Amino acid sequence: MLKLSELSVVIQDKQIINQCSYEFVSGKVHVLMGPNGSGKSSLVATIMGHPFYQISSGSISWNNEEISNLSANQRCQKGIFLANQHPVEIQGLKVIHFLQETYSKSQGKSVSIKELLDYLQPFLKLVGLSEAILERSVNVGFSGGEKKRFELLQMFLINPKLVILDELDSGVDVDGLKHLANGLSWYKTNFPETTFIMITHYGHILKYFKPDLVHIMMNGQIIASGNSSLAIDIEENGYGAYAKRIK
Amino acid sequence: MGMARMQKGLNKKIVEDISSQKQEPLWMKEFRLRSLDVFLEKTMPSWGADLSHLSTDDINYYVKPVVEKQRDWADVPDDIFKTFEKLGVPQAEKAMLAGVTAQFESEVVYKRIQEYWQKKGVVFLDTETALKEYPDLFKKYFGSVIPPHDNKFAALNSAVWSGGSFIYVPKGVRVDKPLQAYFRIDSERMGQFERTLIIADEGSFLHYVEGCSAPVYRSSSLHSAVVEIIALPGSHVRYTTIQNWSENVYNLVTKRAIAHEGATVEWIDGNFGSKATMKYPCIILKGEHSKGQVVSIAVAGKNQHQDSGAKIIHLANNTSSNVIAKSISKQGGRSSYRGLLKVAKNLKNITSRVQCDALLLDKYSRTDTYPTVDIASEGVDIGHEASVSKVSEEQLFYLMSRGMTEQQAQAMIVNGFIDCFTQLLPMEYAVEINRLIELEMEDSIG
Repeated sequence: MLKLSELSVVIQDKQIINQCSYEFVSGKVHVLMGPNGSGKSSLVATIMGHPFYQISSGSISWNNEEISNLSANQRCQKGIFLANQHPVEIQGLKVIHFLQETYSKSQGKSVSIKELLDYLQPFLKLVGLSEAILERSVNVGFSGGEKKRFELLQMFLINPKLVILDELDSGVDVDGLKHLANGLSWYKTNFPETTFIMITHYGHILKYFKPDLVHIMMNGQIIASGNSSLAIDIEENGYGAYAKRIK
Repeated sequence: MGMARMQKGLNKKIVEDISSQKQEPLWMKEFRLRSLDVFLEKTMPSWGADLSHLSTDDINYYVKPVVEKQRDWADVPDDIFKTFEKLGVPQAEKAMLAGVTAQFESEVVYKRIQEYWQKKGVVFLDTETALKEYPDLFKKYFGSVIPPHDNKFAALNSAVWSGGSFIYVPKGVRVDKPLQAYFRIDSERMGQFERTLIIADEGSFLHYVEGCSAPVYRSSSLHSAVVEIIALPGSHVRYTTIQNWSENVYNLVTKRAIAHEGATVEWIDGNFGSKATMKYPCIILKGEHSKGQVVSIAVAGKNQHQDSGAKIIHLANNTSSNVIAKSISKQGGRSSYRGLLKVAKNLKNITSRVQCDALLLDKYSRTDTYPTVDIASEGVDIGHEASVSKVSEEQLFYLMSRGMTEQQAQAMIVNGFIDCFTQLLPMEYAVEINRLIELEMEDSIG
């Protein structure tokens, strides 16, 4: 279980997460919604351990262990994975070598290219990426859809227990969306204990990948939670009613 | 191992002794003595790296190991063998060497060339032996690309040179595996002045690779090599250097190639370590349709200054050049790109691209670019790009969130940055470079 306790986060002296408390139940698909600037991306980057986000008070615990002092790679080892909204480009770093290192880390041993490829091939197909991508530089020149599929591909190598998806569906066409949803469904079916936290602005992906719980985030706090009908309500009526509630 | 050392410092007597010990012809002795005069006349260069702590009087100019030249690894003395083993020479040979000239201190102690190339007439010898066995060819080209008066350190090398490689590839012969030589300095305060001369005859192809590594020792040491390449019409020469000098070595090297009609010359140059490096591989595009490329990387760490770059001189129509220079500065190190691009008068259809990219790993490190462009013709297509970047927090976070440590993440980013260089290396060198970068990153993250 991921537990946020009175979590406050500052970035360059500006408070962006505001005494946020919530317990994300394990094995569920959580959707995090909220207007732009409400702190969703900041919250998930903080959970992953981005050094840019400073925790000013409160705590983050994962399976009853405080993780807020751990580095991002240590959190990765604890089974936390973040698919980024805007994956960064790394010129000259070949995808195949990056994936080989990533897989070696998660396996705790040095993995050969052949072992990697044997494991990887079905997942490439699942998310709809061709092998040609392996020879390219990480995220360099990738289309919006390729970037998101590539983010998801890494999930299968890391085999996380907490999967955080920051706008996985934005900038993706319908076909791409189906591939991503297929990948997520496969993972959830095979690892049903996995906890998902999805940030999305659109309800579309939720048609393919059903949420268990929907949370509304505003002003750096989770202010409301409910079932999937909450997402439909937001899509139809917007955040206005919730904005009034916090005032 | 016993060493027959000469006294420190440099004078006429020492130069004469070197020449007579090597049993050289008179013309070479006179060449050395003329060069000594030039060296003594010229002042230290003041425009590049700081050489004020380099005392040329405090160096042994010749150290002759007391072992004879060897033909087989089994005959190499144990301590030398161990040194080479650390450098990976025997393994490398097994893998893909077409021939090895391993230089231990100032003298070549191990030399071998596979029979296959010998039959095709390829000459791959240490420079002293070549002077004896191929006197006419040697005399025709030696010093023809880099005369002693070119600069103070070329003059020094011309006066006291010892060791190095001599390669001749006959007309139309393609040496499809890299020829390799390993160098190292192992004696305190010993200068190493190897002299390399490569002649690629018409339509031939050659890739020569030299790798350097040096252990740490106490006082300053000087490495001042001269490399001359003559690429005759239609030939293609690639010269790859990986140097990893210990942190007290002054590495002052003159490298120049002449590309005749339709010839291609490539300098692939990797500079690690040293206290100060000054090295600007040069290509003179003398014949029409000749091409030149310089691809270099320099890593400047604590108390190090890598002053490197490229010189391209277009002297004929329809010539093209390409320079890619990548530098990495860390822990307060300094890297400078110093380049010259010159196009002579009344030429047409000249293209040139120069790209310098600097990566700074921290705020204490420094990078500078000093390009000199001298174009005397019109209608020349020139492109010059320079960039300075930092390893971004976003990139580090991305890789760390996939399980890499900070150090590994940084090494992966830096290796990516120099990938265009590594790609041009034989596989074993590419692996070695990636490993070197990882080692460098170990030092830079506290």
